[in-house]
Amino acid sequence: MKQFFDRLFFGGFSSNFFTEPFRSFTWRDVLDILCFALLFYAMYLFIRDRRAGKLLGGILFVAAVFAVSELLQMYALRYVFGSFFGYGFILLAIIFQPEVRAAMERAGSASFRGLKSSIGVESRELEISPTAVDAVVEAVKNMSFAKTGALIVFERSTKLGEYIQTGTTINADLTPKLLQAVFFEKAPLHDGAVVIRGGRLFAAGCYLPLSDKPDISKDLGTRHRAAIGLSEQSDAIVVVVSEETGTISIAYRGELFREFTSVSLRRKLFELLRKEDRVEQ
Amino acid sequence: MNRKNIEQENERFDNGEYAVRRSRRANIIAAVVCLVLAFCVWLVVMNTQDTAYLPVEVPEGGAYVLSMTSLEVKGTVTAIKDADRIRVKLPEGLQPGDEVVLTEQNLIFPDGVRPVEDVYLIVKVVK
Repeated sequence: MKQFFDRLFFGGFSSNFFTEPFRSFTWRDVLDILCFALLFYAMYLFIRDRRAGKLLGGILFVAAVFAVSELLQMYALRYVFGSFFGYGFILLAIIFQPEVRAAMERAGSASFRGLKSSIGVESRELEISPTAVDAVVEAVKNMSFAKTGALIVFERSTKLGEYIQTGTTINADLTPKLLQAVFFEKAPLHDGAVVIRGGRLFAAGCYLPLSDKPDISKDLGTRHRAAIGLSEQSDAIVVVVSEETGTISIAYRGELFREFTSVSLRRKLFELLRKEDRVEQ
Repeated sequence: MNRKNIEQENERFDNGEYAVRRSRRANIIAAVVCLVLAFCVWLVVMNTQDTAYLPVEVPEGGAYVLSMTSLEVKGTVTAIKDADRIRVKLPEGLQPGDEVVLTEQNLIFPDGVRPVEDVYLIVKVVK
């Protein structure tokens, strides 16, 4: 067993493995461990609701096989699985490129928010004009009543150019009637999402990424899955109107909030669209 | 799954909103596991071998000139973290102008730290 640990820790597994590090244990080490714990917890939150959750099982399996091959000195197996660990991180970075990018963007925007609020420049202003929010609320209320399906995206700090490119650029003033016209079921652009940029109806008929979350209810269709998918990959706020039930929902940071009325929707949008808002995790 | 089940499984707020959330208990368990994992990683890292450059210190430093002011050493991360300098044990009876070659035997290394390569240090007595 000692040989196994010696090989696993490369430099050798010393008899004072557990006592040596405590020879000069200070508050800096406590901070070090806490930072590591925070990092692991952030990774846990990151992979919990993504494809990474399933892949993690695969990685743990590979690690277990590698450990067993070390223990039993099975050289061929150790060589193959050892190579996986050598290049595994590059492979994982390629597989999870969208997720890693989204996480980095979130971390960046969150730290800037924290910095701004710490130096006292936190604002209570809205990111877009209240008139634009009211136009969306009015249109959503009408579409909910008429059971017209709708998918409305409020673009924020994460730019959504790659999704806007899949639709048609409109760049028009936001009015309830224009929104209703876009989502009218016989309109050519109704089957897609509307992106609101800077308080203007910027694009329509845009295709959004679908969420891979396994726990999304089966009674939620592609529209809701797309709303959650985009909110997982960006800081956008996505409003959904169900075509079947007229239910109004909001997808934000990978979570779906449901059963809004026009009043509660307006309140929630004002809350979420406030500049330098808190990160709700 | 129908909506009734969604309401039961997920969190409902006073204003009628729902959120797909995990329970607080699961998050606490995950946080504790992360803390234990972090401790284990810290323990492993502290026991891994590392190298660093440590300054070489001569008593009455102004009287001597060293060919190298620092040496590359190896040891566990803990040992290197605690190490601050290598002391020189000079041979007795040195006179100004003398030049001696020091080896590992003439140096006092901090606990758990050894030189990476053979030591070949020249000391010149100037005063």
